[in-house]
Amino acid sequence: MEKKLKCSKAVIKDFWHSKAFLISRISLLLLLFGAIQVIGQDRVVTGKIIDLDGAPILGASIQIQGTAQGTISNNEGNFSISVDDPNTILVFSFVGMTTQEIAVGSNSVINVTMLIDTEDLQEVVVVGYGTMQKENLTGAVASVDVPLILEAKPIADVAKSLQGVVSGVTITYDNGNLNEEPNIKLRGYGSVNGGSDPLILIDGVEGRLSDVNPEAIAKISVLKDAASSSIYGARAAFGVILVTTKEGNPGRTVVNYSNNFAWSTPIWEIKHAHMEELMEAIHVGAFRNNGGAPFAFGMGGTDWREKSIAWEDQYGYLGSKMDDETMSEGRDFEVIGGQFYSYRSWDVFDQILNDNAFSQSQNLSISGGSDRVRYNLSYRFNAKEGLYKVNTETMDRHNLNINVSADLTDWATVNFKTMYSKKIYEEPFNYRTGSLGYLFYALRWPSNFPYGVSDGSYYGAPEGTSFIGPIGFLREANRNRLERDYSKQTIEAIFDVLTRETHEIDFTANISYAHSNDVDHEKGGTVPLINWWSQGNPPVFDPLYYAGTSSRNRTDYTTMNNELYSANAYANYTNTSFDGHTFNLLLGSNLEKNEYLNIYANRPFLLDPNLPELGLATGDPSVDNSRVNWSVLGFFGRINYNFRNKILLEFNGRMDGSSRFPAGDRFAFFPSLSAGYKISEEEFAGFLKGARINNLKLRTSWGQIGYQDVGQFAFISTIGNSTANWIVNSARETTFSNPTAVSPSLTWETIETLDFGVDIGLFNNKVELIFDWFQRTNKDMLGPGAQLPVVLGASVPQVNSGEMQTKGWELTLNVKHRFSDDFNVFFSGVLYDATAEITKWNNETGILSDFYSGKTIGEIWGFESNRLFQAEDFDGSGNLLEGIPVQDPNMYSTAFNIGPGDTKYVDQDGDGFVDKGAYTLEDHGDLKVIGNSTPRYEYGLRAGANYKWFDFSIFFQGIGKREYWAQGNVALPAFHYSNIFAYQEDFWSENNTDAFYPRPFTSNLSNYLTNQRDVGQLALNGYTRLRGINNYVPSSRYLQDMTYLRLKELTLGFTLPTGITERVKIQRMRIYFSAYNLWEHIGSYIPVDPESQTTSNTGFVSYGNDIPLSRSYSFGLQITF
Amino acid sequence: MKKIIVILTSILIFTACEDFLDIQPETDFTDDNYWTSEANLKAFSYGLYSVFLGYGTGGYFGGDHFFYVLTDDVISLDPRVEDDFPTTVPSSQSGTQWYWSDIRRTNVLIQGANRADVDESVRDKYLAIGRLFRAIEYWEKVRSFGDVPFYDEPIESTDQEALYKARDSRVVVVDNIVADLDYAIANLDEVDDKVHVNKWTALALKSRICLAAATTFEYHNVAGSNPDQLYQASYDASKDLMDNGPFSLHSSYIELFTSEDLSANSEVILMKKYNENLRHSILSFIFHEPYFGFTLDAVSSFLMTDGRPINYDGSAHPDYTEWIFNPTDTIIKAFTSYDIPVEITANRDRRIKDIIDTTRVVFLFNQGIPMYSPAKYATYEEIESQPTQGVQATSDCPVIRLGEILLNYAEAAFELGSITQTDLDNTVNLLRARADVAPLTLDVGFTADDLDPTVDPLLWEIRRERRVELMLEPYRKFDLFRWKKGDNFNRDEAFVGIKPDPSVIFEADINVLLNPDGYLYTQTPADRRVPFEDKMYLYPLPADQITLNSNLDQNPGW
Repeated sequence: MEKKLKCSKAVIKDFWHSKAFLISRISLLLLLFGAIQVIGQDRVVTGKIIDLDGAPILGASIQIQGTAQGTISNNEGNFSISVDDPNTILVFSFVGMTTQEIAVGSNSVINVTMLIDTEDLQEVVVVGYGTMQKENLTGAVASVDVPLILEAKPIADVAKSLQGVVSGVTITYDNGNLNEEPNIKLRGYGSVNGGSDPLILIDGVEGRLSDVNPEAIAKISVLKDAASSSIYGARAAFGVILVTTKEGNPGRTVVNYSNNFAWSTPIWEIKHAHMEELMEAIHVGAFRNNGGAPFAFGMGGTDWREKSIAWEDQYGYLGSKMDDETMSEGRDFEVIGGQFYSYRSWDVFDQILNDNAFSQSQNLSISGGSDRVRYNLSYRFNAKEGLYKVNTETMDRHNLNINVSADLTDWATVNFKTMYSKKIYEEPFNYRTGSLGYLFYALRWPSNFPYGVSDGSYYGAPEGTSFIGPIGFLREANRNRLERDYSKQTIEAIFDVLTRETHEIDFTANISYAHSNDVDHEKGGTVPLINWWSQGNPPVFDPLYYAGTSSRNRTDYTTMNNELYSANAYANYTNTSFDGHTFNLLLGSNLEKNEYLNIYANRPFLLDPNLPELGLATGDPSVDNSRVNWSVLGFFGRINYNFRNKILLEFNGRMDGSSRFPAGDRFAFFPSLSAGYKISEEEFAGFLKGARINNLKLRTSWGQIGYQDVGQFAFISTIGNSTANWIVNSARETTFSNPTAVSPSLTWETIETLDFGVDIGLFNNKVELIFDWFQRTNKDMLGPGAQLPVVLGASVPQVNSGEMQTKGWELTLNVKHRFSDDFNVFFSGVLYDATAEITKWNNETGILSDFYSGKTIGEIWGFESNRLFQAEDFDGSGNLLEGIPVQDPNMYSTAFNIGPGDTKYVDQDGDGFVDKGAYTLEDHGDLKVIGNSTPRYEYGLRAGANYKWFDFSIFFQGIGKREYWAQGNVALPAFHYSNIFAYQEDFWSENNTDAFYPRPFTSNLSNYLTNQRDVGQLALNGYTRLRGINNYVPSSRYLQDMTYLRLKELTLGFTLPTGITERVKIQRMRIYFSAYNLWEHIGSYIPVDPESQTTSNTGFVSYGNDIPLSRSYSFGLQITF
Repeated sequence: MKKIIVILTSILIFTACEDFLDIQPETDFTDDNYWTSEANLKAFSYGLYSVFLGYGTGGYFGGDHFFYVLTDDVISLDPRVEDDFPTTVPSSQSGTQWYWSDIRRTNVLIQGANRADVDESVRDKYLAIGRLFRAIEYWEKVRSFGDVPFYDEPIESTDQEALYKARDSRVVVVDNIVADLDYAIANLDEVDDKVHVNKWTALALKSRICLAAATTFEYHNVAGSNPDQLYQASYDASKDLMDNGPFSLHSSYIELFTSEDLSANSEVILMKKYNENLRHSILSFIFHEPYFGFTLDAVSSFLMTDGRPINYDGSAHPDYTEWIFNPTDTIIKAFTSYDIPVEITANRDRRIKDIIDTTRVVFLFNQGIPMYSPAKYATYEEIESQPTQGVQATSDCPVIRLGEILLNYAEAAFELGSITQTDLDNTVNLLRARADVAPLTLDVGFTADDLDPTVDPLLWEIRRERRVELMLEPYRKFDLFRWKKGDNFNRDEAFVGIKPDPSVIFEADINVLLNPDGYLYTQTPADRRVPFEDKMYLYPLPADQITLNSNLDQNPGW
């Protein structure tokens, strides 16, 4: 009856056990190498090895303890081995069975019945404020195979490694920037407020996964349902990820060293269209737009077209026959009548992106200890380069962990854990604003813009000077620097208050202090460039371009300081005094206080662009600061009851208080219950054994948790400052807004989760199947109040008026098989799905742009489109023929006259008029839901094998269903800027009526127009530049399929034979090759990574403009001394 | 020992108190800690000044405009004029005049001044400022909607009675407005820095609002009202200001609208200051985006220097020459201007040159309709040099000036039936003198051809003076409303531009329409022109608000 629920001390013990087990297995393996030659001895011992059912066991290992001698059982389970000493002890082992040691004595026949080893079930899983044996879990808790997932990887990033590993955990990255933080969701969307993100606890303290050294992690648990996470209270509403770092073990000092050297290459490079097609498209588009040829910065006309095409004819597609970047006047560009014309075409992505970005990491850890003091030290250095060819991003990270544990007396233990990380990230200053980076610029303009450099012969520009453009800015930009320091200290005391045979009380108290400091220094400045943007004027060399632009020629400092204090105290009582009944009781309290301070300072107009400091600039400085402080206080308890390992019950409760709520409404009690029934333990369930089912457990849980992430001071009437449109002296006066109206009844969102699960073990747990179904309801979701008369004069305060329901299921399958000690294989797969629906929302008009009751999160409203209009659809005067539904010209702009080659939408309601109606639920015209952007059917599949000294593993990850309505040039040709790409050349023309894309219509009038009158005409209709969008109303035709299957990881390792390593006193040495993102299959028809396009960077023009994800190839070495 | 340690540790950790969870915002004020000092009351009050729009930041679509672009003076082709001039019941409140956050703000200031621990004189001053702005805000509501619910404190979101109450009679609301104005006059100081409201501002607003309320009540026969009392109140306020205030007419009319600094201008009672920190777009709006132009009606309203209109006693003024547009070039559809001969300004009220750009005709974008183009707000040099496009200009805006008060005084005096020649000499004739126009006499001495037969000839000339003096300032539309002269919007003269030479050939694709006298329609009847109906004197209430509150009724005719 070892079903105890223990505190952290137990973690140490259990960890030690598992580690020891691992070591014993390794030594066993080593022993086997020596067992090949068995030399005849004095005496032969024979016997038969069977299992409980009497079936013979083939391939069981029989070793003479303390030697390398041994043998293996045959087909009938028989063995024979020579023994020279009656004191010999034989060690019988077989995978999945308990190892037995039997003294030979005088026996010559030894028959052995092997028992099933329940080690896999007895695996200890970290749960809230304690640990639990996996077999006794009743909630939805997943534990991660840490060595497999995190050790010796090229990616050095915990979250990236967890992608597709745990059922129900969705991890995405918006782009391939080195500094990009992951988006982590557990069981899908849970609230429209806040992030509905899981709580990430690192050794019990909230933190970021990116601050953790992956090599220092011992265990990761994911608490998915309310029953397992509710003990953490108001921040755990959407689950908890528990990370535990490695601790030391008594015994010999173990030194581990490992490294990794990786080379990365971008997965996607977008190619610009061939010049002939490009010119055709933008000329057709411009003609339709304004009746003339396109002009940008004064370049345009048929000469520009013909000379650009001729240039490409001579020097190859995208200048493939050119091998330098020097722009030669006359050949690559001309100035005619004072106007600059550029003809040379460039492979812009290739110019910007590096195929060979290097990164490396070095890890060193030392662990060991005596009986009373144990320690683990680890240090990692990781350096990465980004994907730009010049002036690229760099990121250096240092991690240091020190965990020390000391037994003060036989009843008191003290643990000290410290974690420190430093990150230094540098990137080129972005001359665009916001998320529009260098690649945005590269995709905005056609390939025949001057992306090259001066040969020194014109405009007084020194050789190598760039023309204005993304590459020029990238080359010349200062480097922004972001430094992050993070440190965390925890002191913990564990007392064995009572230790009797049947009663035990442990008491644990800990306090932690975590501190992070980020300093972000943006360094703008002037750039020496050839300015060719001045329409109608010849280019000039401007050594101080942007000198007068305060948004570019500036320096900014932002410092973000965060302090988190936390303290926990809890007592754990175990009673096993009643036969067959075990009780556990946990009682405790938790308090946390967080203080965040952000200070921002900016000053424009640098005196010297190389010295971007506040004191060395001349403009008016601007400064600001903000503070975010919060605290939580909770009292929690848990009761576990176990009846003969068959019936498992658990009750959790937490009384939680949060500073984010008004005094009277601050505390709430959140209960949860879970139960498990292990049918396989019942005697009547013997038939299960016959079916090779050794474990069958049914689980269910229900619970409620409060969610506090509803805004910082939502319940306090605040008065914000602003700047009045009124001047008394010289500056605009500062004024203050009306106090916000606040609902007196505002309170927590309550997240209620119901979960049903089943765990099945087959063939002695060689096959393990875990299935969960869940339903999570956000019962008091914060939403808009009911509409009030506007005489109120204030925004209607939010109330707990909404409701949202998430449903899903999760499947995990683990299979492992050992064919022999030299050869074993494993497979593990996860498949999961979740969808969320708004079940209650105040939206009186039913407008589709807002939430409404019955809305599935992620749904996309659009038209169905089956084809393009053709000439046959129109009569001689350009009107649609009778019977063909008319399309509302007011979808975006009345100035768009539909003609052949334009997108035709389906008249769903059959009224002969295609329109959006009132865009409400009741009247949505011909719109329908054409897709959903929520990732569905996510999966991860990992398989591997060890054969002798070789190991191999492979990991696939993907998404089974997801759509996205993407905008911007990359998704839709000439959507916003007059440019098309190689994969967009299939556009409609009279000679290509069967095209995929519509007849071009250039949309950006601010740069492509013939005269001012057109601006006026469009303005008259209230639109400045977007007529072409009429072809790109959300429709099924151009909807993106975001599904993908990706070969995330492939690893091949070689462990040096012990004979070699022992000679140099090395316990183990492994060298490996590992590749990341090696291959993929994507559903989309455009070369944009569906994995990276998640939430934030999918805006109006920026889709597909981010730094792409990369493939990495790496080598590394692991040594254990 | 063991027990002691355990107990001590537990006490230490379990004894967190409730205070631990008390966290207040630190980088924002709250309603609990804001109302503490005069400085805070003052800062809050600056938010109220946004009611004085100033020159605005509008362009040809969107943004704020200083003046209305659809009156009988100017016509716009901007379809968004609907925002100012609703012709259909709006489905929701958004974008309409039925917004209430500014009124809430005045009541919040009043409540805050009462809560603040400050000297009584300070408290009274900010009560006065709150009430003055509340008066302005409520007057804007009354002139737009008539009856409106009156609130003298910020409403709680749970106050059902207040939220769902019926409209109060505009007579009652105007009584409250007058009480607020009187409180402001009694409690504000006389310091004339032109950028803070003071006693003089309050008097000027009383002069303006009481006259407007009185004429509205009189000409629209509002039940229960007492127009004479309001005329008297306006008259008294104007007189107090004229007699006791430190103001006098500035010598140059155009300088009022083109100066970079008005702080020393004796005519300005309240100005909105502009500089590099706050810019406006009026020059751009007039020169770069001329989506409006002057009508024939506006141009014809200017008197000749002898004080007579261009047509009187049944025939044209002998010094007046009709100008016929006869361009030497072919008209093209483009942003182009043509010279107007100077004859049009000969022997005229000199303000015609200040207000109308007599050097060119503007073609309304792409429509090919030549209109008289505006000049007010720009110096001649600025017109020559093509002012900067966008929100760039920094000239100060006269929000309230003595010129208007003089006209209020004259109109109130006439309506009271007590007007004398001295009254005229102290008001209208001062303005005429500045414009080189002969003085107005009690006996007008001629019958203007444009005289509205329902209006007394003297009142007609006082109103004409008001129209010309305040042209392209934000008055004309609501003046016509309060005089119940909405028919003016429908007159042909308010819809035609210049008279083209019949021999000029316009491009075939332009739908040119001429009126019987040969003037070009700027807005063709079939196209954009919306006839004025009586119901338009009051704006419609947003439909959703009536649905929400069954006690709210719609204005008649909507």
